[in-house]
Amino acid sequence: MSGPHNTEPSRRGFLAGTAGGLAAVAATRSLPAFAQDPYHPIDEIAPTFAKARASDPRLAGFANAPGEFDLTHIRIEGKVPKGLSGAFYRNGPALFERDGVRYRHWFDGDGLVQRWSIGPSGIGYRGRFVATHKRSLEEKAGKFVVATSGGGIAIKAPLTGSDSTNPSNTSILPVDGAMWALWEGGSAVELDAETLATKGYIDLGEGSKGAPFSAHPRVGEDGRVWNVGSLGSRVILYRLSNNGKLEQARIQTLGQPGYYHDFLLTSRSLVVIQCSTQSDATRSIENGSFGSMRAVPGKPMKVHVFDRESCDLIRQAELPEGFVFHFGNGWEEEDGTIRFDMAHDGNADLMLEFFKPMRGLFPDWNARAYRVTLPVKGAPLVEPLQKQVEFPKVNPHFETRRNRFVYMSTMATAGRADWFDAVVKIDLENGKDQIFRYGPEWMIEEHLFVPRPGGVKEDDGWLVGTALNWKKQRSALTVFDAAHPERGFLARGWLDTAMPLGLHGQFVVASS
Amino acid sequence: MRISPWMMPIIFCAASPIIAAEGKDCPKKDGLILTLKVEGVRSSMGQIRAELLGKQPGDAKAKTVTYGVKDAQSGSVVIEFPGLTPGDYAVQLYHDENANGKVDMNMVGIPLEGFGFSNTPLVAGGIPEFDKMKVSLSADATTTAVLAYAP
Repeated sequence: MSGPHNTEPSRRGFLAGTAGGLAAVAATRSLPAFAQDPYHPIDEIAPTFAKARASDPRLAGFANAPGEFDLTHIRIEGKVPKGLSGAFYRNGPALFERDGVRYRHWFDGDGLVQRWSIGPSGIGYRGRFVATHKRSLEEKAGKFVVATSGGGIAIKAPLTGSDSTNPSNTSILPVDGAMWALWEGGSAVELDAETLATKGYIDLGEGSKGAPFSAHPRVGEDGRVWNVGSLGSRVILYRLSNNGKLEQARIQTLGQPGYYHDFLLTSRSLVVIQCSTQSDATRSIENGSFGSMRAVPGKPMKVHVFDRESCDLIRQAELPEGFVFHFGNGWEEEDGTIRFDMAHDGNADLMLEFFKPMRGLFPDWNARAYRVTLPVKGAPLVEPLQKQVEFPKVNPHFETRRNRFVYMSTMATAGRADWFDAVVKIDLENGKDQIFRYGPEWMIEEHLFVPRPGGVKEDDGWLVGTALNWKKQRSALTVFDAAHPERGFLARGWLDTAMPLGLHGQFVVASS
Repeated sequence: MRISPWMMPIIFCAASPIIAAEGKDCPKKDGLILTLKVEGVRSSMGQIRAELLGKQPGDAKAKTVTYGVKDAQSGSVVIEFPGLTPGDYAVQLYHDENANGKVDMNMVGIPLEGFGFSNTPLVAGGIPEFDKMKVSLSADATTTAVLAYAP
């Protein structure tokens, strides 16, 4: 989900930068007692995980992927609905251990892109690791040799910039017939949309090669693509044509450090929202940046609204203190009022939670859904919705437009805090929800909305997502009627193995 | 495009007399010789451009002493810095593959061309502290830099 960002060309910070802050920023406050928590001795991580996994089958979600598979027809429960035809792509960290050494942080794993082809003939599956520069070095060496955002690795390979360490493990974007595997600290990597073969790093030109390019580009109603690149206290604002050619890349200052992972696009604006974080003095090439990304008590989240065409700053605002990875959708009224939803966690130390899975523990998921109204003048209105949510998605035809529904992963089993086991459809207008409970034996991932061909209504389509059944030790792809997910699934395709939990995906509709 | 401060002298160097004699060794002078072995050169395109820094007792920070330029050769290249007085020296260098006289960087100031430092077998991020890349010269000496290139 994140990784080293190049920030300032300063002597110390030149490459030490990572997600979320100026390399040169070194907090002067004394470190809290738990500051060393992220920095467990690297040699202890793998045995600690192995011991935990021996008695906890859920941890298959954080183990190395069992392989790269090609399966033409997988077993299906139910029936693939007529009209649903295309490919569901998912990227996520999927290799965490080599030669007895295990990464400290979940987001450091090598990116595995999985492609589930869905259509009248059934469901097929293909998985391939993104053949990044760092992966090829480590495949050859048989061990980890490249610096990471979680730190602790004995660095044996040159570090010249973000793409030296780019694991390309966070998301994927269809562009002009190809797929771009995305990280956030460096370049996108082009893959063949069918074979998933890696073609190479994307160079958008204008000096953008190797610059941060986030994992959450957003597509406007005209097909153009916007994205941000995190430089901590600055941001790169990208605008691309609908076939992926760079139209503009402009650096704007944000005036303060603070992590951001996603952003919002409306019909007129691009909104960057910084979390209540700042990197502390533990940040270094050896330690990485994730462990240094700390909450700053009392610091509100900072909202920056830019004109999406000129990239000029329009206005700023503040939101309650905390941490946000993801937004579902943003849209703008005629008078400039911006409305959006977010999965907000009051714990701004959230990046630290994702060290836990590498040691066989589970993160403390406490993000809550909120509906936010950002007026042109005056204080934002922040209204709480469902608790324990993540991975918000909307009908892509409604992105940047007024939307009523957002779909998220949530926890529906009483007392559960380890992982999501349900998918919820939230009505942003009345706060009502419709939930499908996978059940306690499941750990679910992001679910995507696929519009029904010719459909007009916002919820006319399918909800498609992947999940791990830890009891069966098998992963599956499940299809729902997006209007009524609570009624149960329409189709489910099963793998014979458990795959590690992925992050973000895209559904590409088959060309007719 | 943002320019890292350490590259500025090398860019200025493009207009210096040294560049006019590029590809040739500097004329022999009295004094000590620091020989820089540049390894990991990935192609024979362009030049290797190096900046010699020196720091004398009492100096708060290192100063530019001179520059060296050699045509690139795939594999390794040797650049000599003659006529030096005893003291502490360090070299920072880059492979100007497109021979445009400057180090090409991306929009956030990261070199897109190979670069390296004396006494540094493994480039690990930014510019090392002077003391990490220094050679204390009391007699003729040799130091090695291994170029690193962005993927």
